[in-house]
Amino acid sequence: MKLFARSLCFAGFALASTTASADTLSLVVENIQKQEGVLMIALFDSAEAFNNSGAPVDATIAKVTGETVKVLFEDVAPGQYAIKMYHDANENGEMDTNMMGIPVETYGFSGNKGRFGPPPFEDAVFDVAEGDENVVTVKLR
Amino acid sequence: MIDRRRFLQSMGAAAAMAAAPRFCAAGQSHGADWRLGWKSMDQDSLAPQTLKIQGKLPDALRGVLFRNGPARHERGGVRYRHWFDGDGMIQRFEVGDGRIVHNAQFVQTRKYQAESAAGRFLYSAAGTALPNAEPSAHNDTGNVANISVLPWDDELLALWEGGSAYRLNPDTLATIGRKDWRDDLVHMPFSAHPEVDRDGTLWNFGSAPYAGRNGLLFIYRIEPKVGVRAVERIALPVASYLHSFAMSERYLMFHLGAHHYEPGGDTFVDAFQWQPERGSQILVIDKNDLSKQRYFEAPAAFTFHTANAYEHGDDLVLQLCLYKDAGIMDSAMVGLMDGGDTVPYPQFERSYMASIRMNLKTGVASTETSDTIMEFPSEDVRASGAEADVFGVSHKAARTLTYSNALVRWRPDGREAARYDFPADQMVEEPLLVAQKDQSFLIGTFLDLAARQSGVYVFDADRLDAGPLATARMPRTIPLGFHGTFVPG
Repeated sequence: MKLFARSLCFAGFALASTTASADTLSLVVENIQKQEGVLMIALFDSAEAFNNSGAPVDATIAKVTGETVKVLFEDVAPGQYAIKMYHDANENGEMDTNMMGIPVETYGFSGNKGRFGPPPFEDAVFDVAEGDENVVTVKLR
Repeated sequence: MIDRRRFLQSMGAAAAMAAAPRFCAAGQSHGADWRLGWKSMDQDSLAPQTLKIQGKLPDALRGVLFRNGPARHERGGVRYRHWFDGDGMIQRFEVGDGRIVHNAQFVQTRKYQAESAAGRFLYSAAGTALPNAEPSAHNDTGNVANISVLPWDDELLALWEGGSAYRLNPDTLATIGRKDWRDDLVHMPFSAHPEVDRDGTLWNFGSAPYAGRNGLLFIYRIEPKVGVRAVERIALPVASYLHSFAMSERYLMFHLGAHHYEPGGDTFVDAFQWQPERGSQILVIDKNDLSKQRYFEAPAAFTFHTANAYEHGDDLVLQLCLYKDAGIMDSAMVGLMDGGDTVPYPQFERSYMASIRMNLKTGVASTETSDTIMEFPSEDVRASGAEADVFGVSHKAARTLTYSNALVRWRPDGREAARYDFPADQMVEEPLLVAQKDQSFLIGTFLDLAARQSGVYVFDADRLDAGPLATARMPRTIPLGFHGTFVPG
């Protein structure tokens, strides 16, 4: 169970971009239950990093402004990606867990799959294509 | 109509169903529909209705009988597979001034609200794997709050066991929200069978057989108006199914039966395997130092409910309703939900009142099983230790009827002190003892299949054989439930 919590933790956050451009990835985060805190979002470009809590290719922190928040990643190279994220409602920089190691803050993954805990990369993967409007939705759980 | 067969087949349950033999019930007259007990309730609430009383309701009996149980078994054309699965509905019977008034309300869990809005089940349940289920985020994702109720700090808690309790207004039954005891206890398992100590301390446990190497047990000590005072995390030697515990003056006692969680099942219920070769164990915990734990070996058995525990010299005695196997949980509760044309009677064993005596000096335990079939036990709190009798539901015979049809009073020496057999076609639910100075009562609910009525029975607790002092009925039925409490008014 501790592993589960750890797999959602990642370092290297940058401030979220606010302007769109070519090769932009638009992330729509839904089902934000508490209107406070920030979203901690990590973008992965490999199964190895995603499945084994490796380093993300990009990461960002977005302020919660409503039940749905839109976040932009700029200059994303065409390819396959997957997202892990959680809602740091109390802004303590950690995904809080209970005594069993189960998250008590909401979290989500691209693909919105998985019976319990994080899905494997292949269930979370999506394509970013050059020149397309790349939109991906994550529903927090 | 609901295509239950196709739904069950889609979940791979067909083989299990086919293996369960069926018999026509010997004790039920033709035409009485036993399935009423497991009929899905599709209204969010039931408006107040005054019951019609036969006999004389005692003036001294005043208060509210609350009961909880799974009631929404179907949604959007899908029927759950297991009796544990349905959303909890709170039944409220206000008793006094010669009247009983009933109303009911589903607990508005987050799951219930999301599924109401969607018009279909969204999440897999304890005993039902739903195709295309939404992911489970934590223990409260599938919380149905459907096992019992507890009056606590001026509120009523609707208790489940897999996750949090839910807070209700006891007067209106309105849901206030999830009960978060502490930040690090959010979404933790919290059993439906807490015990209240003499000083008001609430003892409870949370069972997580899927966690740790062989399951984790969390013990909670909670003080009224204050909150959680202590939590002990215990790594168990076996991942047994745990539904209740018993408490004596100095100890907490857990029966770790031979039904063990093995990772990989389609559902929580399916993940348990009956492994009689491994026997059972009794875990005894010192209430004054929760780190002091001791295990006793016992024969393989299965239990839902403990009845009482006491200390006698170097002996600890645990009284409980013991099954010879876990057929009640993994096949009988599926058969009852299946709703076939004949009464499903899988070859499962009934539970019998038993005493397990453990010697603290020798470390040896011995089990004595009585001839009394019993479930939903309720200790006679007017006495203590070896003097306390146990009330519960029973059967006329081991292999008649689908469900309980009698009340019994059991003596700790193993004898049956009194019983009352209800008329044919009546199913009887948990008796609660209302202990009062001059006269004590047993109150509970029943379902009359032939008349298609639900009702309340009231007995003189010391004159069970004489039959009910009063019964009260209403021209509607409510699904059979699990546990309740009587709050004197």
